[in-house]
Amino acid sequence: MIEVKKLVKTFGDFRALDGLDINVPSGAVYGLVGPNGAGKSTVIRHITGILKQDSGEVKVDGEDVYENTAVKARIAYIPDDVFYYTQASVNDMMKFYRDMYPKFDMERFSSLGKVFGIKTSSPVRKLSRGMQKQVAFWLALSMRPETVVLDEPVDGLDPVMRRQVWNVLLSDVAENGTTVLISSHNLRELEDVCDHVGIMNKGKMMIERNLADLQESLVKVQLALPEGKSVPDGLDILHMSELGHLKTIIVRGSTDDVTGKLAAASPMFIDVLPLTLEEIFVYELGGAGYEVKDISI
Amino acid sequence: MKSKTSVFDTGIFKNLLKRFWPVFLVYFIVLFTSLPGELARPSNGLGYRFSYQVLWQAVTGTKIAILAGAGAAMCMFSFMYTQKGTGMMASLPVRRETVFVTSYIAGLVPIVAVNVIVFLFMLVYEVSQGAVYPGFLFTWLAAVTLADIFYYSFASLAAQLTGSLIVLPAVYAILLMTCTVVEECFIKLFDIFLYGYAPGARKLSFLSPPAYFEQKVTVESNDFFYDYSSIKPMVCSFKGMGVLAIYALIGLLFAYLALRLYRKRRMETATDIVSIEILKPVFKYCLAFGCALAASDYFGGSFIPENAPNIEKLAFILFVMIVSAFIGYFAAEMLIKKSTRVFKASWKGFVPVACVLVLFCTLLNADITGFEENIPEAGEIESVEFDYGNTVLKNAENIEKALEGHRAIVRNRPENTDPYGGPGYYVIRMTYKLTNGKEMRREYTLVEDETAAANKAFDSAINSREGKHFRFEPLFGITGDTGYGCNINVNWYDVEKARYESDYTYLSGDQFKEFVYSCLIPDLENTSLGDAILFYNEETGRKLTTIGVDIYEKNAVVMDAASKYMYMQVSTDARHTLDWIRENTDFIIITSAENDANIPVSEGWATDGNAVPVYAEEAIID
Repeated sequence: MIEVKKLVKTFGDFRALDGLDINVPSGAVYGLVGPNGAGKSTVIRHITGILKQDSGEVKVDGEDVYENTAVKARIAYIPDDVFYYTQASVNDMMKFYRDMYPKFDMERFSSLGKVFGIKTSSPVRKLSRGMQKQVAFWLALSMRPETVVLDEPVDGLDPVMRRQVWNVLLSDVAENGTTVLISSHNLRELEDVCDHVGIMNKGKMMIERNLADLQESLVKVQLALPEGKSVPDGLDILHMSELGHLKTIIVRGSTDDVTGKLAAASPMFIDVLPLTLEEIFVYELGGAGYEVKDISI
Repeated sequence: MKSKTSVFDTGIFKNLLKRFWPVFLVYFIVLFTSLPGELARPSNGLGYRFSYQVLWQAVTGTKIAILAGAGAAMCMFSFMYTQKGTGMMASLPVRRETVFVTSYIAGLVPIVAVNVIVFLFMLVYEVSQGAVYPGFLFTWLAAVTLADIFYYSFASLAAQLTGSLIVLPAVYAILLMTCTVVEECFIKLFDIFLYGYAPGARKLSFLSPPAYFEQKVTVESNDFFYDYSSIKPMVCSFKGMGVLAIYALIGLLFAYLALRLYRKRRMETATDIVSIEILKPVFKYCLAFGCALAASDYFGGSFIPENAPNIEKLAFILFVMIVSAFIGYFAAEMLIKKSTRVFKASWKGFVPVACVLVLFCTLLNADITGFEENIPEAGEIESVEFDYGNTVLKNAENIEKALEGHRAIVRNRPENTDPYGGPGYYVIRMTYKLTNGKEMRREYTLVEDETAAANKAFDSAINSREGKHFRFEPLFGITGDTGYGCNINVNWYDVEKARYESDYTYLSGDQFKEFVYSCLIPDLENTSLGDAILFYNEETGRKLTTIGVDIYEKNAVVMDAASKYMYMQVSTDARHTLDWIRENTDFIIITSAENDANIPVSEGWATDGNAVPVYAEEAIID
C-alpha cells in the first residue's frame, strides 16, 4: 500500500508537487498519468526514497520511506532511464543487487533468464535500450519485491517483450499481491493492466479512482436530434462535436442518468459508446485547461 | 543478515574497487616511479644519498597526495553527479551514512594500500642489498599517508559542495588555495594605496595547506661534507611530520563534516554547480569579490605606474574591480540558474557589491587609519630592524637615527616621481618592535637625490658600531684562540675579463688568529669595512669586492652547529685586511689607481673621508 498525503516539493521557485495525495491499495496496479511536467516522476522519486519532501507524508505499507532501509528493501524501482555501472555485466549487476536486497531470489533470476534470453556475461551498457529495460525487469522481479514502482516501464520494448513483461508482472501481482505503481503516457497499455488510475496535473491529483468507476463516471454518446431540438440543459458536458446531424458528446455522469436526460429531447438516434482511458485523460484535462487546441498552421 | 545500523556495505565497497582500480594503479605507478624508481638510478641507490632521497620523496609524496586525494574523491563520489546515478544509489535499501562511509573508505583504503606496497617493496629491496634503514622508509610511509588522509578527506568535503563532477576539482583547488591568494591580493591592494606598506609574515597560509606544507614540510641536513663515496646514509631529518599529523586529524574532521553534509544533501542537486542552497549566495558573492581582488592584483601590478597620482590609481583600480566583480557576479548567477537570462532578475544584488568595492577602495586610498603618517615615538620602540643583514638596533641613538630617516621619508614623500628612472634607488624595509609587543613594518622605495636626509640617517644607523657588531656578531663573539678555522673567499669584478671572479682559501691556527684579531676586527671597528651599501646597482656591484668568512669549529667532521658565514664589502680604508690578504694569500685582486672606474673595492657609501688610496697596480698578491 502506498500513501502520499499533502506532499509538497519545490525546486527553487518551482512548486513541483503542491499538496499531492495518492492512495494505492495493496495488490493494486495503479496507473499514474498526467501531462508532461505534472510531477509524476517527482512523486515516484519520493515513493522510492530518493527525494526528501518539503512537507507531507510518503508511506509504503504504513511506514515512512525516506531513509527507511527496511521499506526500501521491499521496493523495486525501474526508472525511465535505468542506471548501470560502466562495463558491468548482467552478472555484475545481479551480484550488486543480490548483496543489497535480502529477498533476492537466485532461482527466480535463473528462471527469468530463460524468459529474457540475455547472456549474463553481456556488458549491460552495450545492450540496446530495450534490452537494458529487460535487464531492469529481470533484476527487479528477482528481488521478490512487495512494491514495484515503474516510470515509463515499457518504452523501448518490442510488442512481444511488452506482453511478456506484463505477463510476468501481473502474475506476480496475482500470486503475491504485489503492489504496482506505473507512470506512463501509454494510456492504451495502462488500460489493459491497471485497475486503479490517478490523473495528476500541476503537482496535484485531479482524479483518482478505480478504472471501472472512472470509465463509468463519463459517458460518450452519439445522437441525432430532430430539427429544432437541442441538447437538454442540466448535463455536465465536457466536449461536444457535430458532424451533420450527428452529435458526439462527452458527459460527466452515469449512463442511465445521461441517457435519461437526453431522452427528453426525443433523439432520432442515440448510442452509448465505450470511453477509452485516453479519452478520459484528454477530456478531463481539457476541463482543467489542458485541452487539445485547434490550431491551423 | 545485514545489520540495520551498519555503516559499511561490502557490496558497495567491492563495486567501487572493481570499477576504479585503474585509478589506484596509476597512483601506484606514480609513487613507484618517484621512490624506488628514483633510487634505482645509478647516482642514488642505498649509499650516502639514500636517506636524503627517501625523505625528499616523502616531501614529493605529500604533493602527489594533492592529486591522489582529488582523483580518489572524484571516483568514489562520482555517483552524486548524475540524476541517474544519484537516483539508483538513493533508492537502494542502504542508509546515507553507509553509502558515504563505504565510499570514503573505498577511496582511502586503496591509497594507503598502495603506500604500504611501495614501502614493503623498498624494504625488501633494502634487505636484498644488505642495508636496512627502515626509519627513513617509515618516515616516508607516515608522511605520504598523513598527507593522503588530509587531501582525500578535504576532497570528499569539497565533493559535497557541488553537484558537478567537472566543477569538483575546481572547488577543491580553490578551497585549498583561496586564503593564500586572497591574502596576497589584499597585500597588493594595500601596497598600491598605502605608502610605506610592508607585508609581514603571511598569517593565513595555514588555511592553504599546499602553501603551508611548502613552508613546513621539508628535509634538513647539517651534513656539509657530502661524502658521496660513503655507504652510510647522510645525516638528515624530515621536518613537518607534526604538521602533517595535525592536518590529517583535521582531515578526519572534514570527512565527518562531509558525512553530515551528505546526510542532508538533496539528491535533486545533482548537476548543480552549488549543491547546498545556503551556499549559493555565498558562492555568488565570493566569486564577485574574488574576481575583483584577482583583477586588482593582476592589473594593479601590471598597468599602474608606482608613481601614478593616487586619484588615477583609485579610478583605475575601481574600474577594474567593478568590471571584474560584475563578470564574476553574473557568471555565478548564470551557473546557479543554468541560464544566461539573469540580468533583469538579479542586477539589484550587484549594487551592494559595487558599493562595497567603492567604499573599501576610497577609504583605503584616504588612509582613514592614518597608516602612512603613523611613526612610533622613541619611547615606544624596543628595537628597529633593517633588512640589510637583518641589522637590529636597540641603542637609543640609533633608534633616533632610524626615526629621523623615517620622519624624513614621510615629510618628503615623493610625489609623481619614478624611482626607477632616477640616478639610483633602494628599497628599505624596517620593522619596529614596540614595547607593547607589537610590530610595525614599513617599506619604502627611495630615490637617491630626493631623500638624502633619510638616506644619511639610515646609513648612519645601519653602519653604526652597533649595526656592524650585530651583523658580524660571530666574529666579535669568538672567544679563545684555538678550536676555530675559517674559509675566506674573495669575490670581485674583473674589469678586463668583464666578469665576476672569486677565490678562496682555508685558514687555521695562527693564520686564523692573525687574520681575525689583527685585521678583520680592527678594520670592522675603525674603518668602513663591512659597511652596508644602500644603493646597490650594477655600477656599485662592479666596484665591489667582498670577503666572505665562513667560521666553524676546526676539525669538525659533521657540524652539529651550522657554520657561521658572513660576507662584507671591502673598503679602501681596510688597510689591515687588504695588506694581510696581499701578503698571505694568492688571491688575485685587480686594482688600478690609474683608472678609478676599475677600483674593485667599495669606497664606502658614507666613509669618513679618510679612505686610503687604492692599490697602485694590478698585482698578484702572494
